[in-house]
Amino acid sequence: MSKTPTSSLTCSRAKEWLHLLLDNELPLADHERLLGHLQACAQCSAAYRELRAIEAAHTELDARATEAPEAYFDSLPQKVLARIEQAEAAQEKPRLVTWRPRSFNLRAYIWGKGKYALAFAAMLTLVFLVTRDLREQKQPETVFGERKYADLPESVPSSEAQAAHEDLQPLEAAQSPTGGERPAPLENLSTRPDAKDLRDEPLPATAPPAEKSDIHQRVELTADSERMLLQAAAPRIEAFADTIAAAESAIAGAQQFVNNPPGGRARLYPESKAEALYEEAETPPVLSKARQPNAVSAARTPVAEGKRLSQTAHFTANDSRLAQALSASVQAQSQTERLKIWQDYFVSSQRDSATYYAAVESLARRLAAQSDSSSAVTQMQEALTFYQTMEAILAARWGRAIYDQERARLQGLLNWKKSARP
Amino acid sequence: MPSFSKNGRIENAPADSGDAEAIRATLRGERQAFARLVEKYQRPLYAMLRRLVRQHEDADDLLQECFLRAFQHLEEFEVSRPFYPWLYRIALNLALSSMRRRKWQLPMESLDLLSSGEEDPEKSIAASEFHVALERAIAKLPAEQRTILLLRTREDMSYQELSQTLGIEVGTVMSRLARAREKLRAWMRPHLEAVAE
Repeated sequence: MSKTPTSSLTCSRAKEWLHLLLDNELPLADHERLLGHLQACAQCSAAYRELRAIEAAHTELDARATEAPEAYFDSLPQKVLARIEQAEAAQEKPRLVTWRPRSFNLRAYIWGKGKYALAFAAMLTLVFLVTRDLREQKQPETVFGERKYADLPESVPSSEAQAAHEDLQPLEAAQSPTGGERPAPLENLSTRPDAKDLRDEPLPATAPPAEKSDIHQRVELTADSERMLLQAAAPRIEAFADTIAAAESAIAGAQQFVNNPPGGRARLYPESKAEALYEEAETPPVLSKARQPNAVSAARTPVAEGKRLSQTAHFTANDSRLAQALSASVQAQSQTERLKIWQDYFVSSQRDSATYYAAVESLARRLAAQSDSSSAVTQMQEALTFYQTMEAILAARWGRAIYDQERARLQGLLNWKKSARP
Repeated sequence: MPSFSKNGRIENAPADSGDAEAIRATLRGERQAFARLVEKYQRPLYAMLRRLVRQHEDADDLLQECFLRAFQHLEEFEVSRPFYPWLYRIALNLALSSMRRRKWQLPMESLDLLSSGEEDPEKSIAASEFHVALERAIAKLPAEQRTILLLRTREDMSYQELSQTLGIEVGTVMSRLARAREKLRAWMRPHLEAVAE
């Protein structure tokens, strides 16, 4: 930065003032100082001359460039009026879409806010197409897929469930006279003394003989109709959340009972543990025990315990019938009807293992013997809740592989029953 | 007919009673009354627009748009106030938007326009080249510097007016103008020497 000997104004400041001078914004008091600097400083003086030349050329440029074509102004007023009429006509037509910007630019819209709308529409389309394919498949996994229950906090890994299911095979094989083939349910049933008694003696009036035909009708269900039932039952299964929560508490209470059986009672063997639990659950002492405060803390027991119990009891997934039975049970008008519903459920859902048959028949027999039928039904409901919730939990957590295996097994059983029927 | 300043603006122009009557007539539906307003103010507005956007077609389009918007918002105008400054502001805003939006274009008639007015052919050619170079140099300026330079030089706006029009501080006006001019001076130096000779 140079400073002329004749002035205290620096060149840098002088150049700033040059622009103010050109723009008539320099205060008069500073004019003399600037002019004095320009006289003494050749560099700033040259800069001023160049800036003035450019400014003058610019002004001349403007003066020559503002001439309008001949007769332009003569026609402009009418052109403006015509444009006004055009604008009014254009405004009248699109009044139905007054939300639209006056200067709508499709390209700008697409690359602006429109891209979000387009992306959203594309996402919706994709979801629609994907779900349409799934709907067309009508596979049970869309109803009972593991993802549907993936948010359950105590979910059991499918691999673990698979392993647990495989553990059941030896038990089934042991019950079956043909080894790995289907068990002979009627034979199992006949081997149970109480069950045989029940079969020999006609069921009490609370169990009309017409139920056999109903069962048979259910056995005739086709695969398609079963899938439809499963789909229809899916919302109800989801609605089981509260039931599951209540049942887990019952399971925990039952588990506590298993771990600390009442004094004087024979030791519970694994094969009969569930049945014993069932029978115990029918008795008020057990129910009261399960409802004790310590059972509440026990209810927090991981569901793995419940799963182990259910494995022992050979529970399988058959949710549509369970949902139907639950719904029908709620709407039942009488105790007899309710009993029929659950008997029907256990039989038609292929719970023809010794455990189920014995349990149901025992229940029916006890119910028939009860003088206070109301109390008996209540107890039965309590006991059934135990099974129902285990069913629901398994249905939710065992996943499609288990379901498919069970279904194949049940289908084989259906065929076997058809051929066995007289 | 009011007298216009160099840049076409009317400083502190009083409300024109003829304008107010024409505006009221326009609002009553008399389109020709608005045509009279167009006829009255089209020239200074065109000059301003032409100085800023350079191309006649652009100036024409902006001028028609200016009058159209004025007509559409005429009900909002307070007739006790002068009409022309309101029109001028509409036209100026349209021009500024256009200058920001569009790529700066050199006028096609530059050489023709600039070749006249000089008797010495050599000087005429040099002056023409200088003016064409100046147009190109202005076109090379960043949009914000070009806009403020054109408003200052062609519209003769004060620093305060530039500050209000562009919504920037007066200090920013000064620095932006200085940078624009220094760039022009650097780019035009070869031509300045030719003209000086």
